[in-house]
Amino acid sequence: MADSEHKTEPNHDLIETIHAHTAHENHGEINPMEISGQMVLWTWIVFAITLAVLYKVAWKPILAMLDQREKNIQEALDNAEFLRKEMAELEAVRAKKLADADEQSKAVLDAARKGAHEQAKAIENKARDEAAILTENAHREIEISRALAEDTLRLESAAWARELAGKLINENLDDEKNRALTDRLIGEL
Amino acid sequence: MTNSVHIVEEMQHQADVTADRSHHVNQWVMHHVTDSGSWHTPFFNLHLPDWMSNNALMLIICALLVIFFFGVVFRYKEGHSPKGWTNALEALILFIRNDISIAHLGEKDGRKMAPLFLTFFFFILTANLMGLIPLFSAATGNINVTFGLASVTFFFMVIGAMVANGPVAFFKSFAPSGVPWPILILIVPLEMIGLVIKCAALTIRLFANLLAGHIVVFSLIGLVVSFGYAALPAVGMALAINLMEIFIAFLQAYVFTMLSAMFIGQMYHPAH
Repeated sequence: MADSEHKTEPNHDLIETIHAHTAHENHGEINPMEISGQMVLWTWIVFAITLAVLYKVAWKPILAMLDQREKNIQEALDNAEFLRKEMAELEAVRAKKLADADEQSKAVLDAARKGAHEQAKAIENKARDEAAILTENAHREIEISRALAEDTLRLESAAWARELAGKLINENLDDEKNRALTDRLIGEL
Repeated sequence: MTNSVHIVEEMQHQADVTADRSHHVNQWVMHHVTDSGSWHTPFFNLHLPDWMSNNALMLIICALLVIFFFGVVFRYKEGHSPKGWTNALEALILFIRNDISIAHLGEKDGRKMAPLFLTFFFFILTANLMGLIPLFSAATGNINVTFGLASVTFFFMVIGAMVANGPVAFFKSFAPSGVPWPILILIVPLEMIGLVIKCAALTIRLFANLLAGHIVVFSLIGLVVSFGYAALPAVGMALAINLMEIFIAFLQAYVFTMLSAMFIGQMYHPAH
């Protein structure tokens, strides 16, 4: 029995605590659905003040900042897109210029090559002409020399023939008449 | 014979003791989940004046906490990406503005009304979470507080809609066009009652969820008082329920805010 009394001891403490609490409340029966105008009023006042203070110190600047940042991000994205496009355009221009330069250098090279070719051809032609003239001159000189040699040979042969004939007819014949005869004979030849 | 009578008596007595304890635990639990005129903590007992109550004090602390968080902790430096708390709170702010306010009220009204819903959400969330922190209690577990908050929604549903659309349009919204008049006799009072019921539902939903959560936690712990150490595993369950209460705190703040936005949106744009 003493044991059960001992067990109920904390129970008394609990009862006392609850009585103490409820006595302070003066509420008697506890009812969570109890309506109290005072508490509604407190809620309104505290909520209204919170709303007003937060609107001033928090929501207005924060929302404005968020809008501003949203705008900034959009602008940055737009700007990046614009720059990307511009870069692409510049790249295209650069590529075009590079292609043009390549074309031009090719044209210059072609022109130079063509010029050199023509010049080489002209030099060759000129050399060929000069060589032809030289050959012709040489031919002519050969011809003259040949004619001269022929003439000389003819004269020498005639002289030799006359001499031989003179020797043959024992120098009887008049030199003048023989020469004329010889010249006539040579001319007939 | 005497022995068995003694055993029966002993059992009877033990049953009486447990029932007695349970009754007191019940009273103790109900006392702790309802409003009181003092703030009891293990460190101090604050007796509040008549015009003040524990829940009113909690509301004030809650308001100060919210103002502290958004006025002091929330910091945005120009040209720097947000970090830490600022980042976490900013995600919630954007969610409430874009997916609650603008989603239900449209671009123009949504942006204008966003501060109200932001205050609703963070005020209710903080009040809910305070109930989970030892020393504090949940003001939102008080029906008067939730009624006070729901009446703000009601105010905007009625007065706000009247200002936004004009009184004629406001009353016209109770009578949908193209409905024959005999049915209107039925519909108009129903619509008007519906307006009040929506707010009453807001009141009860928040208050009942918070109150029930705390009663469950206290009751599970109360099992230890009633049955001794045999009921110790109930503390583990109480812990699990308490963790769920964290989720409930967020969920109920979201539900209250979202439904308020939806109801106000319906009154602002009755054509929808």
